[in-house]
Amino acid sequence: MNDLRHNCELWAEPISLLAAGCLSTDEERDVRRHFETCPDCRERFGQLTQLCGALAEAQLPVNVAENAIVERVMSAVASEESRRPLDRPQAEMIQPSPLTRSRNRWRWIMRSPVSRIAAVAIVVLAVGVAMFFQGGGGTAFAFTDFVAPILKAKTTKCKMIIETKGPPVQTLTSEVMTLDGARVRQVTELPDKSKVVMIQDWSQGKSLTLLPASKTATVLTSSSNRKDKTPENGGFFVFFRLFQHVAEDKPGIEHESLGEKEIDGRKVVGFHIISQPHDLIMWGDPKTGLPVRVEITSGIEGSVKATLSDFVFNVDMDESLFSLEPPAGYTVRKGKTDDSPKEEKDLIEMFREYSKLSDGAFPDSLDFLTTSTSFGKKAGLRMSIQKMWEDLAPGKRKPNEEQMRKLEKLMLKLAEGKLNKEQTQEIAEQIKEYIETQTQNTAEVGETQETEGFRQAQFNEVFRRVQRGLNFANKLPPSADAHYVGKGVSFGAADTPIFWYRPKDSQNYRVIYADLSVRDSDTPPNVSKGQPVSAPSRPKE
Amino acid sequence: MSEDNERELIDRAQAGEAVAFERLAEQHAARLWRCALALGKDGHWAEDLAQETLVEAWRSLARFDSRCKFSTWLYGILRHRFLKGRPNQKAARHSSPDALGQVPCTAHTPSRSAEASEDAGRIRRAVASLPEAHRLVVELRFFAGATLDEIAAALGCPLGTVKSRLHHALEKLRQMNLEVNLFTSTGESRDSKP
Ligand SMILES: [Zn+2]
Repeated sequence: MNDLRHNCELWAEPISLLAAGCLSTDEERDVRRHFETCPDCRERFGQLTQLCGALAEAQLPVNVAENAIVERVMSAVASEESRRPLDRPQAEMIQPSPLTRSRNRWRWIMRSPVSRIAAVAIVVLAVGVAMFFQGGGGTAFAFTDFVAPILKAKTTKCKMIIETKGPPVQTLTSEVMTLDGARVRQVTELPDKSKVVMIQDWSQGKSLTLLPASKTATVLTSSSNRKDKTPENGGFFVFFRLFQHVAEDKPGIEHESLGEKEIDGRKVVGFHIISQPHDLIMWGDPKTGLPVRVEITSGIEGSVKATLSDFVFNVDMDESLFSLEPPAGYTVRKGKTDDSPKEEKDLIEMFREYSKLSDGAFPDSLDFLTTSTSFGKKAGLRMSIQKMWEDLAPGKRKPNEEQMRKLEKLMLKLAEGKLNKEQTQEIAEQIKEYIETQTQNTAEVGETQETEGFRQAQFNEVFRRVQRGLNFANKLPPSADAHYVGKGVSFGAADTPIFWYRPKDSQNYRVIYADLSVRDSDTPPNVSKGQPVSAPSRPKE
Repeated sequence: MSEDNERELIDRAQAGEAVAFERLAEQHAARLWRCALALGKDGHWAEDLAQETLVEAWRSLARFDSRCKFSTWLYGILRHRFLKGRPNQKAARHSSPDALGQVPCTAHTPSRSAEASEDAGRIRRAVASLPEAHRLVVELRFFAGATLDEIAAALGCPLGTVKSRLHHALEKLRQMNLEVNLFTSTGESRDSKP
């Protein structure tokens, strides 16, 4: 009910604009779709249409003396022309016109934040997805036939497209190569056409990430004692893990045959496998027994979708492509991945970080992918905004919360990717103008510019904390009776529980409240409709 | 006029062909005048502003690069000229709410019934009672027939602002309508009436 009303608020402006004849056909279609389910908005629209009709009819009943205007214009033109030298005056050509400036602004804004957001997305997906699948459950049946080649091939090559639901919507395309089922090279193109190369070795738990544009290399080594040592920034290995679970034929998986269809003129057979919260669709060629396309949708309402296609197996690959040595001339950063056990305090930190970025609101759910992705996007946006702010107003005070929110809104519009060029330019203008007007009369306070590396490191640190917290909650066994009721709740109230669970071997519940205090209790709080948190379909490791 | 047609005229005008520019001026003069009227309310002044805008457009035509619509560009120039001449126009802009009705009407449309023009007068008064920012977008949209982009250019504010102002203005008018039943007498002539 609340959701519906909230929804209508979002529609109010488009409905007014539709009545005023100011929406495109696409936009109109969306509004009309809302009418199908909403008599209130339909009625308001009826009244507005009537009003707008009356307004149009109320136009002044006058004939403009347009002929006279044009006549005078043309005589001015003629007299100017007679005085004008052959070439237009130099000054006019040199003066930067408002239009030229706009164009530059547009370019500037497209270059900076959008590529940043994409880089953030890579972190979200590469790290987030991997950690989620660790400890995942299993599945299998006839579709194992199609998984086996991927797992067993000496080499594999394929295309991977990852889409995340907005806002902002993101689509990233990677070229993936694997060697001996333990080494992966993944090259991802960012929207600004620059590339990220990620090379991983599963058996060593090591990864190398290269940003050729800035010649930076990051080497990560896992400190884990686990046998398989999946690198925490798992990337494509995530799917290896998932396919392994499928191949192991574990119970608790729903599956159905999708029959036959054609992909690129090839007859393929398909399977649909549901292993909550993942949804796999796999199409393979029955003649060769090889996979043709795999679609993996994860997260609440399919927030992340990966499509693997263009498989090629067992072609020769140069082993140097998988080298974990940073190339000469690169700046190298080293780090250890964090394998320490996740604790309750990680979850509390997650709540704190998340609510800080969301106007106090706690996440809608503790679904790992959905929540970490949405946090990553928000944090990424903020990072981009800070960068823009510093670029435009160097040395000045950093944006306050209100300014940040305002800019976030604008950036989200940009990032949604639904705007045409003019609209994009429009928003870009707004962003720049806003920063300029907000800072033009403030004194320089000597704030130092932060380096890109520092910013990224800061982001990684916060993001890591959030993921640890989510992991803690998601790894609790069913016996912990964990529940989350933070949806719609904001930071503050000391008596509103948002999460509870029973620690191992304890009779008491631990209850986390909206002020992020924790208290022990004999019984779970008396709150209806808590979301159970541990997923029963995912047996514990 | 089709977009191609306009594009061709612009190309020719940019090459220095005054006749092509004359065609463009004919296409846009009336709407610019209506826009000027909404901004300044004085009929003669509005004519002058429309005229200045077009002359300025001719002078700066080389700078027009099709990144926005030609009309949007014109509205931007109009705004510029408007701001330049603004101090002298203050008196005109703050004239009585019914100023629009006093505009010299060079040619009344004869087909309008007395009743309809009475309604129109009431609606114009309702519009005139809106706060300045809201009144402008409504007049530019409905009386001057400007698009959102053009309004944004004319007012020198972001598109998003125009949208939200238009929305809020319409919402205010709608609520007035509900209270005083402003439109009942003209409602029948509109097919959208439920
Ligand atoms: Zn509605």
